[in-house]
Amino acid sequence: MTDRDVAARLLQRITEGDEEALRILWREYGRLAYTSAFRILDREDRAEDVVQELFIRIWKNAVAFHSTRAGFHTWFSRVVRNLCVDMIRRKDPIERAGAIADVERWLSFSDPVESTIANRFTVRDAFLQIPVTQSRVLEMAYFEGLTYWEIAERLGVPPNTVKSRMRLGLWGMRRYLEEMRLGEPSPAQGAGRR
Amino acid sequence: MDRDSARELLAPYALGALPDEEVRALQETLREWPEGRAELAQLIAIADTLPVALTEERPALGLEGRIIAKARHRRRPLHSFKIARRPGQAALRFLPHLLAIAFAVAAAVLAVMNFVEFDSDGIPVGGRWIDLASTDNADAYVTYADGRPIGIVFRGLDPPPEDRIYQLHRLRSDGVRVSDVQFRPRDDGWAAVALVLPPDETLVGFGITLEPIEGDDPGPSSEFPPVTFPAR
Repeated sequence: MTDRDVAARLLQRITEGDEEALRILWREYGRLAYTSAFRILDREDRAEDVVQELFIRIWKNAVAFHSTRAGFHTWFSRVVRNLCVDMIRRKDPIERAGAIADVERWLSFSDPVESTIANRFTVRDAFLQIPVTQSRVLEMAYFEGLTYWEIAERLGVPPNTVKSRMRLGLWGMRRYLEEMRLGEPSPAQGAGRR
Repeated sequence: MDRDSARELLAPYALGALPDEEVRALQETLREWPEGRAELAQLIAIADTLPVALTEERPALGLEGRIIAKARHRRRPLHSFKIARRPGQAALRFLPHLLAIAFAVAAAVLAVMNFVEFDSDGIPVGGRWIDLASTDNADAYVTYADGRPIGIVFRGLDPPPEDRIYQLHRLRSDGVRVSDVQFRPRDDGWAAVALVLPPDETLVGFGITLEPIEGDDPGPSSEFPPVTFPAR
């Protein structure tokens, strides 16, 4: 059974008011949510607020989340990240809801790399095997909530360079995960590792 | 925006690193650019693996308990939801009553024709009661014909305030919400609505909101959907 199937069943049960399903969802994804929120917000209390908010939203609106076309991991990580960044930028989370819905409609229903995402070590390897100049801009964008213009300013490089590093970094990780999924050794494995 | 320029923005967009004004311009371009959307989906899937690569942090032990306690507390009556105002609803005031009557007549006819079996409480067999999780005591019972929902019976609904009315929404499998019939429960909290679905429509659930009967502001409740339940 895939991650998506498990999540779909849990969400179905939550829709029916099953408290135990919410507990299971917490055990499966609570730590991932908290880890991500803590990395972005760098404060335990605010990270806990965001995680609590997220699970209560799921509890209240599980059917709406159930219909998402994105993989659950993808969707879940994105919502956590957006809630955190909204908190940093003091934006109204509702404002972002439409944009998230748009993105969800565009996401592929089944992404082949999804099966490798559950393996923390594989993902970490994928991240570590790209050059530091690329992984740094990914971190600054995703976890520090900076725009590519802000990153360019902080690093003292042209904005086009930042965009290029982002693109190369993400595609580098993707290639690595695809190769891992196929069970082939990555040509990049070991090379460029920090 | 030309597509070469748009392609350069896909990675920043996937990482949430595009300024708002560029987000809007890119989204406009993507609407007519399926290849761009496919590429974006691949990039987003990777961007959202980044949290998995982090060294895990342990949340406080009491957080799970606080979430569960708050979830219990959130089983609140529908009245407490914020409501946006909608135009032209006075004209629709009697529509739900007519539809409810139509549904009752249709159900009676089907019963006579032996298409739908009713239990001792007069509820069609083949569906099930679903607890409306955000309410105190309300349930919904979806009935089906040939595997497709044809009607919903509600019980335990709070009577709406004088100036408000319940509205049903259909949640389609493609993620789109469609506003459906408005209705008012009887004094004892029961209500019935008929469903007429387009032939190719598949649903994952329903939602109900409380809406003002008259008003000028368009749009459903600000926090949709306040109460949802599955189609199956």
